[in-house]
Amino acid sequence: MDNELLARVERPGQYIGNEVGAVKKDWEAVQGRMVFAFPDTYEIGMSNLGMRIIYEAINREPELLCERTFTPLDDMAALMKEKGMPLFSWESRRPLKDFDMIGFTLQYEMSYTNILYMLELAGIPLDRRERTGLPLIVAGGSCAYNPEPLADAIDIFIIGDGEFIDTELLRLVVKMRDAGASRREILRAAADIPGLYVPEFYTPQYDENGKYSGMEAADGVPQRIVKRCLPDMDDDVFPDKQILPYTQTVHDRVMLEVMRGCERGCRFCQAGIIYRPVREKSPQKLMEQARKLVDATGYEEIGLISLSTADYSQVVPMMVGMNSEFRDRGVGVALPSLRVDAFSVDLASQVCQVRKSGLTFAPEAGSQRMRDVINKGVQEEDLFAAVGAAFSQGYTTIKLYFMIGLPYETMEDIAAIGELCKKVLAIARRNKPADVKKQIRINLGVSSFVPKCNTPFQWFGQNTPEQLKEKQRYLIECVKPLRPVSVSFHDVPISQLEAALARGDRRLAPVLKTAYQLGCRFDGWDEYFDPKKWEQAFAEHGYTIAQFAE
Amino acid sequence: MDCREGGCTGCGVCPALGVKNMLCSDDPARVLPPADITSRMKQTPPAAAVCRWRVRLAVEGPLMWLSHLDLLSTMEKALRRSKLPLAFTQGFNPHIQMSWGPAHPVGIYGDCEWLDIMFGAPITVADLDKLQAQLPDGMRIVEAREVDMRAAALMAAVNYAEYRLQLTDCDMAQVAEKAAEVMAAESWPYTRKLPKESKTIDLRAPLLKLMVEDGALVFACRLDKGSAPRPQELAAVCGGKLVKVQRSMLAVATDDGGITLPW
Repeated sequence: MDNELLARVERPGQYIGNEVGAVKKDWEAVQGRMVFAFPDTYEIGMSNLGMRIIYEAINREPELLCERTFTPLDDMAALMKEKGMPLFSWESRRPLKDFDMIGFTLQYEMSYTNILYMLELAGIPLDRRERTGLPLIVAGGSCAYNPEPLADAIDIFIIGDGEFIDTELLRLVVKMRDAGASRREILRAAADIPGLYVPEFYTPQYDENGKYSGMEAADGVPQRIVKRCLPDMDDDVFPDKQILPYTQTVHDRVMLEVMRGCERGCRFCQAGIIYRPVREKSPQKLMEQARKLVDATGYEEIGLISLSTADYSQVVPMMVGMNSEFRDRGVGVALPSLRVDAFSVDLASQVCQVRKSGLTFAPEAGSQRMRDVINKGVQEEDLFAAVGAAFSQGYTTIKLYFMIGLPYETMEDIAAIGELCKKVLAIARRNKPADVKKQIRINLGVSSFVPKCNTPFQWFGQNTPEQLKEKQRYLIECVKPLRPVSVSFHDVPISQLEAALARGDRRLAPVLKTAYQLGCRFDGWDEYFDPKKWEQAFAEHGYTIAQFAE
Repeated sequence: MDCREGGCTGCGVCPALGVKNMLCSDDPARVLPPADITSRMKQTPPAAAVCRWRVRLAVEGPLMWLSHLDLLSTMEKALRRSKLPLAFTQGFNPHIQMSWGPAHPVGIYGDCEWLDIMFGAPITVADLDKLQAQLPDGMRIVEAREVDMRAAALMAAVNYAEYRLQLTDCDMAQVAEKAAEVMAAESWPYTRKLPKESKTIDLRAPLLKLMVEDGALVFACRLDKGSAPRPQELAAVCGGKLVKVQRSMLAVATDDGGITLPW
């Protein structure tokens, strides 16, 4: 079947599977089978660390199997429909329906419609109440902390660190399946496992105005779900061999998780809250894993992944160690995002040992007042010192992240972003060595504040789209005189919908389904996203997007 | 200020989960000795090339669906895993020194693709087994020979390609007739659709051969005489639908008709 389809699609290499490092187990020889489903394309999904961890955790068990699936692009999906071919796994190429469990990862609210899309391509009812038997549809990841908009589509949510709970759940499913238990019995048993939320047994309550007022748990199921947490990162199930995609993926490098959690407590940051507490992996373990991964993959870069790697207490000596070990093999070490107050000349000298990948700093706000409001404990001087260090080490391009639409923000705070850029530019010019010819570039990435659940700012409504657009216009005015500075913004309607879904309750479950039926999918992609269809979907159920976002 | 330095802020996570912040700096066994940054700054410059190996490569099976760039990065990763003494480009961003012949088009298999790999130390042909061991199924070293460091680049040397096309939905006798017609013509204008525009090319000029052979449509062409025809274009002209395309040879042609492999 494959060749005929592959000949007719764009970038067929993403569908072929069988990559170096992929696991191929004998289907008949195992008892429990899960497919990990990433609700976006292969190129994006293969950069996801969570998938690799869970893939490893399950495949490590001889009697269990984990395969992968992704969202096919339109051309492939159309051909599959034409041939009556259901969505398949990348390893055994079996239909998703053949598995005991389908595990979606929730990275981003804008991928929700893709979950429905994949379920439909797999021939599985979109509404959990219409399903019979297996597979169970489970979902975990950061968005599972507000699962309600997906509560009609997902049977079981996994809250917290997933490395052991997926295996535990799959074992339970196998055991009960073999004992002849019904779907409902399996779900009921799952509800007793700490860290699992089974929406079937929870009924949302609404007040007389139709506003959500609380959740009623069925008899005997836990009233409160406590997240799963891996206490010591040295006990992780990190894969020594990583799957090597043939095609270019978003992060084409070794992904090495350095620590989990961040104690900074920035008030807008959901990851900073939900991944607490901070758990650092030992440098010895990291070195051992780095060695195995470099040997097993052949990547030229090791990405040290965490919410804030520069905060890792051993970061400088560890990077010196990695650089001295790997430099002669042409392998560099990269820090994907950097805290300006933890970035030093020492660190700068280590980050650019082999090749100068870009540097990104996130001051988040332009004025000190605003940075204090969001509890981003960064001083202007920290940023200046970091920029000075970077440019004196030969960097010529940096990226600065800012957020607009934050609580208590005024136009002066927007102007302060421009002022800050002006000062940064002056420091860059002063510190750039004379022998570096390349022009200085400062790229601003400006996103709109999205209130997220479990954060101190969760009840702060988002600015209206008009306010956000006005602030964007004003910021453009402010940086216009600065030639080497360029600005790119996040799309305002996308941010608005993100806010609505991030805070929405179960009333959004049918809205989501309607949006999907109206044709919404790949909503995180500008070329697919259609705000009109979403407005229509909300309206059909008597709501507005603004009502949930603001 | 956060709770690692400033004391507990009472967020409630630790008591609720029964876990604690776990910092390496709190555990002497997990602390690294302070690093001497200055002494480590002396880098050995990446190895420069001392020898050059020319590899004839087969690309088969599902790997034929990879783009040229994908093959390139797959080869790079395999080279690093092989631990052979690679040579790197000199400069800010050192890269493995390797250069390929004509690009591999998506969806085509064959066993006569070419690339040059530079090494930073002498190697033997047996050492290349280490590279083969790291290549995925579907990428196979057919043969490799050391060539002169100053030999012409593959992109300049390789100017001849041969393809075998398996067709369906057609009468091969008619295909053969059409092929003969094309070959007999002085020129064969064809409108090539590009992503943004269309342009008219002459399919005939680069063609050296177009005929039916063992049930397949076979063609040979020069790569340096105008735009080389593409398999799907000749299939369309000859009235067949493509099933499978093999690039059976990439080689060096001289104007007197001689054809040799680029050794």
